[in-house]
Amino acid sequence: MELESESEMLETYMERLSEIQDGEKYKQCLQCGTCGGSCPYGIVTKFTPRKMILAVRANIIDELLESGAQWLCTSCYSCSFRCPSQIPLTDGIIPAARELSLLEGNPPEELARALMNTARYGNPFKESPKKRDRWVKEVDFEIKTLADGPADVLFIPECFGAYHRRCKEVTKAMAEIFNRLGTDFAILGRDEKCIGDSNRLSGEFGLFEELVEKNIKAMEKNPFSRIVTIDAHAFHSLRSEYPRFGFSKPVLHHSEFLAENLETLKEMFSELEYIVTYHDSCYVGRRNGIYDAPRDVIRAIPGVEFVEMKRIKENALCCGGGGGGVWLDSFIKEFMKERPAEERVREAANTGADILVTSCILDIPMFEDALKMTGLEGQIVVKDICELVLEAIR
Amino acid sequence: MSERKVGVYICTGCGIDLLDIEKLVEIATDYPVSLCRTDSFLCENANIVKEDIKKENLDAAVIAACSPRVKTGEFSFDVPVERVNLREQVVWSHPAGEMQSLAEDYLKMGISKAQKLEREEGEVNKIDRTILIVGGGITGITAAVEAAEAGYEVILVEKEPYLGGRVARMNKYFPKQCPPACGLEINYRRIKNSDRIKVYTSAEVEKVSGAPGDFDVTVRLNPTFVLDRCTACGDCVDACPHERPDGFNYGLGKTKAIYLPGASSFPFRYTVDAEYCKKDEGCAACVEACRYAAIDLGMGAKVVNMKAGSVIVATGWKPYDASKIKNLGFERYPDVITNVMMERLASPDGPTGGRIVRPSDGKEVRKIAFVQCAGSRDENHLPYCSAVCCLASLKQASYVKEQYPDAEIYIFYIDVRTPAKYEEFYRKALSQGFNLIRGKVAEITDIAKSTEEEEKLIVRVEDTLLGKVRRIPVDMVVLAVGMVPNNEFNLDYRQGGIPQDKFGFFSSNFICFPYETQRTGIYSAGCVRQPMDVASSVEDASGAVLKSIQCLNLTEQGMAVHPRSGDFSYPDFFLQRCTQCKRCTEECPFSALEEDEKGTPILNPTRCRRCGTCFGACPERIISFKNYTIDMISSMIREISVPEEEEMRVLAFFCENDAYPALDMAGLNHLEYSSSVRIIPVRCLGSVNVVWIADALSRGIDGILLAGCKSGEDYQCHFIKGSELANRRMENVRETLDRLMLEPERVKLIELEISDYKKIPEILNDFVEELEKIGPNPYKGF
Ligand SMILES: Cc1cc2nc3c(=O)[nH]c(=O)nc-3n(C[C@H](O)[C@H](O)[C@H](O)COP(=O)(O)OP(=O)(O)OC[C@H]3O[C@@H](n4cnc5c(N)ncnc54)[C@H](O)[C@@H]3O)c2cc1C
Ligand code: SF4
Ligand code: SF4
Ligand code: SF4
Ligand code: SF4
Repeated sequence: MELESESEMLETYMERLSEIQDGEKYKQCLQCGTCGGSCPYGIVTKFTPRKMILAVRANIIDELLESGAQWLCTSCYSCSFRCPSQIPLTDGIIPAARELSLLEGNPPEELARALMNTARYGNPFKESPKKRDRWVKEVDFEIKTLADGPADVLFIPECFGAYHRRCKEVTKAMAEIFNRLGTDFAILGRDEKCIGDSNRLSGEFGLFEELVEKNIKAMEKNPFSRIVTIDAHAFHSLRSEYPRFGFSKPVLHHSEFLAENLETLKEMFSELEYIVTYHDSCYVGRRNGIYDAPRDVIRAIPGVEFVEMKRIKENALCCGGGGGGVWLDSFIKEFMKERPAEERVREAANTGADILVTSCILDIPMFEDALKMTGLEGQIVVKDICELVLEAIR
Repeated sequence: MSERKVGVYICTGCGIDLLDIEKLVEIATDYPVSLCRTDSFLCENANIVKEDIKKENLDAAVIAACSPRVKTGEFSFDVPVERVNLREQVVWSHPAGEMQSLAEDYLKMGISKAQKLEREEGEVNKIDRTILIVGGGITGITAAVEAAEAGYEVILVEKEPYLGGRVARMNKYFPKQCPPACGLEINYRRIKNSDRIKVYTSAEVEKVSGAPGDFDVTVRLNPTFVLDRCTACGDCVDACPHERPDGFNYGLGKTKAIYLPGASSFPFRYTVDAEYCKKDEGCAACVEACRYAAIDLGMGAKVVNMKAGSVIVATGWKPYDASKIKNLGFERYPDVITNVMMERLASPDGPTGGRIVRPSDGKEVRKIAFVQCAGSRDENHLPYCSAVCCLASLKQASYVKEQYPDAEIYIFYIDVRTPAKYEEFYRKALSQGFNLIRGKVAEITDIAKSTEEEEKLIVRVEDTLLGKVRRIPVDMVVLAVGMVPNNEFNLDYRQGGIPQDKFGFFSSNFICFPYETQRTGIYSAGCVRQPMDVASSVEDASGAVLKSIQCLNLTEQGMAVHPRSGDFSYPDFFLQRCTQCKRCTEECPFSALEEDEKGTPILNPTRCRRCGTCFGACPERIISFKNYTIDMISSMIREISVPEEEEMRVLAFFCENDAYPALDMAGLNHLEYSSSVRIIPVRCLGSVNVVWIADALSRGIDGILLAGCKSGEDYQCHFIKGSELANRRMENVRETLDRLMLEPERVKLIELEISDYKKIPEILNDFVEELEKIGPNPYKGF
């Protein structure tokens, strides 16, 4: 669909903003620039969030859309976190602009493909939904499906965890930890669809709602008491967005689950001689305030020396994978020489750590790629927190 | 009650003679009144009333003339007066055909009230004329000397071992760049020369209880371990083996456990920091070193009780905790400091003797960044503007310029706020060539991306005027942090401490009565009231002193202090019938009521503002004022004629402060409105008792209107909570309506400002029309 005129664009934009919580707060923007200064892309973009608001005020949205600035956001939440007026930038100002570009029909190619695949197949990889539970065959114990009966924990691996070659290792590691702990857990299996947070943040609000409905329906098949997920974006969506659609179960990030079982795990730990640093993933840390759980888990492993990077907790630098960022790699490359993931792995390597522990599934492909690009491969290894824990209890 | 002698006076001037005066006289004399006279120019001839009062021994007078808001002097006599407003609210606002019945009702209502009016009597209170001042910063010191020099006794209590507060720790004052010590010195001399001021340093007010004129103050005197005989020779310091972080210098540098807070401390006496002193482990090095036996390590805290008549709270501010602003690197990087630390760095008696150098390595500062609004104007931290930090940074930038003429100075700001005459200071600062960059700093790190950035702090900011995100490497960063009020105050009242606004400052009527807290006789001044500069703090101090003197004088005479100053009436509780429901004690906006163990209210008349909120709240109707009782208003309501036909009858309670004057304005402008409405002025909507509404409705009155001031966050209610409570009580009203099986629309509450007077015809007429639609009150004729 082509939007006829600029005023029509503005109207669509405003309508979307009005549906977003605190959307109207953009009127209180002080034009202070905290957002632009905080954004990992602030230096290269033509429109920082501040200027996006100006563009809306001046009704020059077409200029904004043409610049492509809306696609540079990886939803790291730094701007929104620091904005003194608490304007929903990551959840509102940016995705609403993206929605307009989608309506205009010109999003970046790679991302457009991922979104289309998600709409058709329930995952961005164009994989068959039937293969979503293939990974189960790669472990040597039984894993039940919620459709077959109730469970205590519903485990959500989400698309990367289910299909991505490397990320599947994390899923399996977490499943094995559940198994070792004797947790009564189940998966949605083939019923699971993309949880959809990237779709929401990409401006595909309609698709997001469809996915939510399907997933909620799948979750209603049998009772369970709470969700544990290894995907930080799924975690956020299930915890903060799904409740708007009537979902109301407690949702735990797997680092929280590990911290909760730390006393039991401690008895199982054997020594690991590593120097470890930890990357606060945007949707675990800044977005949801989980800073201590993963640190407590890492510190509890005997033999591990824990070192911090310079930018930690609320100030951690984004890996660049969120908000559709994994699909925008080539688009972003056109704008900047060194991508955030590369800057981040350098920062991690500077600590002298052997292992960079992450807690968001997207960090793994982003950082592993960055290690190759920076030539740091071999010097430091990327592991999800549950992989480190599994290694310690093997 | 014996028959009371009431005289009725009807003025026939100003158009009132349009009424059938003879008929009015007839009506008046139908009542057991002593006399009824008419006069065509009553305000001029008010003497006739005076003479009658003397000759006839009248107990009360009814003046049926103009509004009670005018000719107040002419119509005030030795007996209580009830004014019947025939001019503004009858002849000036209604067509000739409709005004007579209105006037008759008002006259009857006035007479019936006057028959019950009693003289308000103030008791002379024996009061303590001492003013307690809490906090010895520039505000507290100024208040102390001003009050003492006006002839009042003063107790000045300061928590720290020295006076002066924050300004004692500053290098210079904007805009004159003069040293604070100069002004402080004069004030210290004034304190020393006065025998009315008792200064307690290292002392805290633990508790204040009692009431205006009679406060009980508990002060805790913390041990300093050094006696007055200390000569400040300093021998003890050389002997003391233990160190403490230098609090006076905001943690920059260290002192010994025994120390002199600042070079010009007042009192000029050493003190021991008990937290770091190892006396408990047997150390007594200082005691041995002191040639004057001025150290007593066995000293303990003392608690003393004092009396005061009024209180000024001048506890000032503390800097916002910069470590909470995670993105700005405070505590992570030693060269990120706050503005208050910068004052110490630049001070000649500071940790570096006034040399501005990097705390990390003592190196000179070539490039420096001032970060404005560090945690200010920010919903994540302090939502308000601290008003002085822009000026403070401009001042501090010139400290740097003075020491390093070639230094590059960056000031990052959202808006530069240098209002009024400070514009000139801003101009002067600009001419020194500072780089002002418009943008709130996003991040400070030491992650270098180029050789130029190595070993530096990198300020990342969106230069919003240039439209570019910039990285600016500097040697040192100063965070312009804002002010947080020191608002702990243990007031031992039923409702606890002094109410605060949403930012934590002691709340007051922001515009008209800035010093008034919600506790009578307790005034706040200086930065605990709102962020301000020194000049304003000094003004504030004088203002608060004036208020506390007024409080003493009015309290002594038994009058209300504020806002009904001069009012002698106060609520009287007929306690035999009290059911201990606690509504009055909970709802009193000023915590004037305490409770005994059973929950029976105990009035503190000198705390009371005479708003009548308790009176409106009481379900047993046992609270009354001499000139305002439930029964008086009920009998007025009984006098209202209720037409049997289709004609509507509305009773309206109008708040005296805003709504009633609006009605007068409407009359003055000859705006006509429905003559179905009968108006009764009330002290505050909070003083409207639900029983009146029930009375009126069961008499067949068709609808009730309540008009008062705005409630909510930007409330205009002069009694703060009155209109809010009236709103809340509408719940009970709804129940009453339910019980009587009447439509909820029959009772309506509106907000009305004086300036809304043009809307009055519309409001009243519409309400009458609405009622016409609902139909007459079924209780008519019962
Ligand atoms: C960096 C900076 C620079 C500034 N520079 C200037 C300037 O150059 N010119 C200017 O005009 N203004 C300046 N100001 C503003 C100035 O500091 C204030 O106007 C001033 O301090 C207000 O004085 P005060 O007495 O109200 O508060 P304070 O100075 O805070 O004094 C309050 C006193 O009360 C004491 N106290 C607190 N609680 C208690 C308690 N419970 N019991 C007993 N005592 C207690 C405190 O110890 C303190 O001594 C500056 C402000 C900042 C932040
Ligand atoms: S940080 Fe917030 S207030 Fe400041 S410019 Fe950005 S959107 Fe506006
Ligand atoms: S969420 Fe992150 S990437 Fe997106 S605009 Fe804000 S700061 Fe930039
Ligand atoms: S005075 Fe200046 S620095 Fe301080 S809060 Fe206000 S605008 Fe910000
Ligand atoms: S009249 Fe007002 S201030 Fe006095 S006790 Fe009653 S409610 Fe409190």
